[in-house]
Amino acid sequence: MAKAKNIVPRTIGVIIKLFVILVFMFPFLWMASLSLQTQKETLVTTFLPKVPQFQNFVTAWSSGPFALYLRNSVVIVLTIMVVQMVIMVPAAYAFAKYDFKGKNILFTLVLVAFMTPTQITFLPVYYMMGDWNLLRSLWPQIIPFLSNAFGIFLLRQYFMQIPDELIEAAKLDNAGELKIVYKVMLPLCKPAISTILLFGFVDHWNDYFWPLMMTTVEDFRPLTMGIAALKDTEGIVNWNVVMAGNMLLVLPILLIYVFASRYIIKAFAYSGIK
Amino acid sequence: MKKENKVLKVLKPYLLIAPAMIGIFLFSIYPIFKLVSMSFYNINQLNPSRTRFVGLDNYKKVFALESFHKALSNTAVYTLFSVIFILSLAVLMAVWLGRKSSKMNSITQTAIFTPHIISMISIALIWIWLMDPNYGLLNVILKALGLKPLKWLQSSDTSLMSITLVSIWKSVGYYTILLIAALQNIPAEIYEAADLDNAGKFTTLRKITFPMISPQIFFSLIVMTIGSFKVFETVRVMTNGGPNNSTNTLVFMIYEEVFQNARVGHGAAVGVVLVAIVAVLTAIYFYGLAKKVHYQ
Amino acid sequence: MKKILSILLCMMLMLGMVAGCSNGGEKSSGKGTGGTNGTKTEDKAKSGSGGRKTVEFWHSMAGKNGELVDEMVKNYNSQQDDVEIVATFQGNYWESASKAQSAASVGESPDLLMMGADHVSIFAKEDGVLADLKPYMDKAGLKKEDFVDAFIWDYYMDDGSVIAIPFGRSTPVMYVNNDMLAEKGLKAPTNWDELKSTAEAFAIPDKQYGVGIPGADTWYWFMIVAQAGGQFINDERTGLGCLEDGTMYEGFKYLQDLHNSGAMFFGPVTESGTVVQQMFLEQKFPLFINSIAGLAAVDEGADFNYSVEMVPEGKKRVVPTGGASLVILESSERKDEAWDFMQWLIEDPKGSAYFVSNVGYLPYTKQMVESEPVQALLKKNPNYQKGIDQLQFASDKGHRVPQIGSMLNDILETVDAIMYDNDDVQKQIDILAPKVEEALKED
Repeated sequence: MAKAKNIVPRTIGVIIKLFVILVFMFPFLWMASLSLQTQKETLVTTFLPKVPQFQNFVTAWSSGPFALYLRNSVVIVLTIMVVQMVIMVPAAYAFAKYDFKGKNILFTLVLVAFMTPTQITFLPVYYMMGDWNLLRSLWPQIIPFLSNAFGIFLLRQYFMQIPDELIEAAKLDNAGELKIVYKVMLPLCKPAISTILLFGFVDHWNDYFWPLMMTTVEDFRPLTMGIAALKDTEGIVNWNVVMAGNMLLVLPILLIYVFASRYIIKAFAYSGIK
Repeated sequence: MKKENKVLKVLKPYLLIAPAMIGIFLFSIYPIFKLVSMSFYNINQLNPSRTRFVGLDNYKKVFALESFHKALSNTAVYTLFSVIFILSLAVLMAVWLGRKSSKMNSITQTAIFTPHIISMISIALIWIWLMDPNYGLLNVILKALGLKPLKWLQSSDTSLMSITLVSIWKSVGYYTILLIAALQNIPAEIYEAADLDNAGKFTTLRKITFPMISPQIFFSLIVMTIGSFKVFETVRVMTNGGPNNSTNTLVFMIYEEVFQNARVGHGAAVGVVLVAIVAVLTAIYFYGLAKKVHYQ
Repeated sequence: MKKILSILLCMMLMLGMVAGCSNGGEKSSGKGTGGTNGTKTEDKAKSGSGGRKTVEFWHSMAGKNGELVDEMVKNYNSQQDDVEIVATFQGNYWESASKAQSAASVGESPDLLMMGADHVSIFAKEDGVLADLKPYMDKAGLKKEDFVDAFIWDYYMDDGSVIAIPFGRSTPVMYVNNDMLAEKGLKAPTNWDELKSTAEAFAIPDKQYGVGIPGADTWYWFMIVAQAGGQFINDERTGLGCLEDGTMYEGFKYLQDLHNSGAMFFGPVTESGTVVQQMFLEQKFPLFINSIAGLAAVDEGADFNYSVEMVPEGKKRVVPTGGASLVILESSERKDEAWDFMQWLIEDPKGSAYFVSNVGYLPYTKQMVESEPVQALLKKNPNYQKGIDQLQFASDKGHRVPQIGSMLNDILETVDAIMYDNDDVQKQIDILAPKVEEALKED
């Protein structure tokens, strides 16, 4: 009896969910469709290609040194993420659990850094990189991002919620300070870590403006620039190839998300403080 | 022996924060100071010898610019509306999708999260086509529903709203997931207790659910506000600040002055205004909201 | 956790070392300058592969055009052993110009730089930034008369120096869908009145238009003022010269009315050229005013009988020029080599002649018109001749002042207000005038 009562609202719920899925996924699905169309098909509003043109991906990939671009993107993003974990965790811990002179002022600076967009910092940082002779390398795309103010801010929040008793207990076991941080406290902050890493990965992987301004030679360019170069400023634009290139950009993140999504969702849901 | 330990104890927090603070000083704080100093000069990048001190001239010129005032108000309006809409929608969707874990729910969650991972430069063109006043799908749908078609990106009246819409589409999923996680953290016992007290659905929401996820809502609010403040790529790719500055924002204006109009001094002045606003927001955070959050 | 961390740290260190070493490896067009980590101009990878002298060439050609540049550069490089040109895409004209400016401050300037026609002056007006090409030209026997005047007049400075050479130069033209015109028994318009009547004949609200014009491009607006008989900037270079005689109002109002009557499709704020071109190819309107550089694209994409005509005239027949030119930076240590490449581009059929004929840009020397690639294009697509014929009416003298680069955004704002928001033309002109005066005060 109860089941029959629920069926109507449940069906409505499903329909609405399908609608939401369509609305949110539509632009992406159209992009995917364009990446498989022929050039002629892209000139008219086509939703589904007659024959999927997988060679568009090959064309996009071979339009430039894409293996190099991919390598650069991976190196940049991985380096940033790994070093951030080393740098920001102790800092968040200190801000959360220690009292020291100047703490508030210093944390204010962290907040200011968090709120400052890269368009403000770009020119001075560019000059700095020039003075340090680093412009012809990957470093200008890595070093400025190693201190993740957002990460420190978020982690501190989570660390503050961990009761001091837990830390005291670990200390009684003669555990070293950093060991406590990484082995005891961090695992309790999986949602924060997932957030920071995910945000970070997506942000830096998809960054176009900073690499555009910081690189003048192909050697150090990431994937986003390779994709941008697919589009012409005047003349014939092969939208199918351009979109195939964009799909190549999204694919790694999508793969990571698909494989890691269970872990990510679990990480997000993990409480464990009790 | 004891003295050494004491020194170490005092130094410890500083050592812990040192690497991070060095990075922050070098790449955020120092650039801000440099920016402030740059704002007092008429900077000539090609002929540095012609860079000259102009005092407050850049500020005077910038404040007289219509584009500056538009950028200021656009930033405020955009931030306000995107935060309100994204937060409300995220909370709504979190409550809707986050209580039961079903296949449908997780698929929907994945779907609304996907826009976040797609780069703006990739998806901008799709949106431009969708929003084309004549052939775009959005207007086709509006007309099919008997509604008046909109000019979307091609009118000063609707362009900012269009950009906001795209931002909402892109960001909602992320915060929804965040809030769903927070929701799932609420122990079942609390809900059971509420049930026993015969609390209605809305009362439960109001008195239990929201307070319990208030840290995450608060956090989302901050991150969203700051994120909206920093909006750049969406504007750059979709409208270039136009039409007629209707989608110009403070950050975009800095870019425009420095990288398009070759007026570095002006850009620096706008940057300093932005930093000042940031300082005010920081102060609000510290002395205002931080106290009001419910922690367990 | 610690184990994972240490492994990751090791990985990062290794990757970091690799990151420091800039040698990219596969198919990197920057291979020549690969070399060392962060060297300044003085010891910037002086030798590329095999001890050649490298010349860094920054350009704004992507997609198909980018491939053509690479092709051209490859031809040059393989023809001799002395110099290697390393061509790198640097973003669009705005982005590339601003990068070049920042680079100048830290000694990372390129040797050879491609600049948009309206951006050259940003560099030209600064003393000692651009190399004087006149000595090179004299030595090579190249005279001003050898070039198309409209493309080079503003590169001859007051002090007698020449600071740029044209590269991919263009003018607007009118593409015509003859099939659509034939259906209504109409001919391609030759002046404003005919344009209006022809375009209106095709207007079907929200479905079809008469003429399509891209937005976000200032040159149509310089053009309409000049066609109205006006001079955009006054002789004294203190402000707008087209106010008192009402030519700016006349020109802008004409276009606004054309738009309001539904006869014109005005392109969006971004991606304008491509959107309008696509609509022309989809036969949404029979007339399309766009750069001649779109010729190859239209030729490839048009399923219909099309032709190229001169842009309809107003009181005068005049078109502006656009596209890009090449400059050599004075700071370069490879000026001679860069010039060698430039000269090759000017004279060799595999140089600019090859490039322009594959895109639709216009030949910029009399010799280039006679060159094999250009002649081949003329034979294959006689429409190209119209572009060349129109050159006699090309002139930027009314608007190309040194400060033009910093005015472009102001003008676009006015255009936006007039076309997208249908604002009062006179009101917008009154708003623009002081902005222009302000910009002209900059030195």
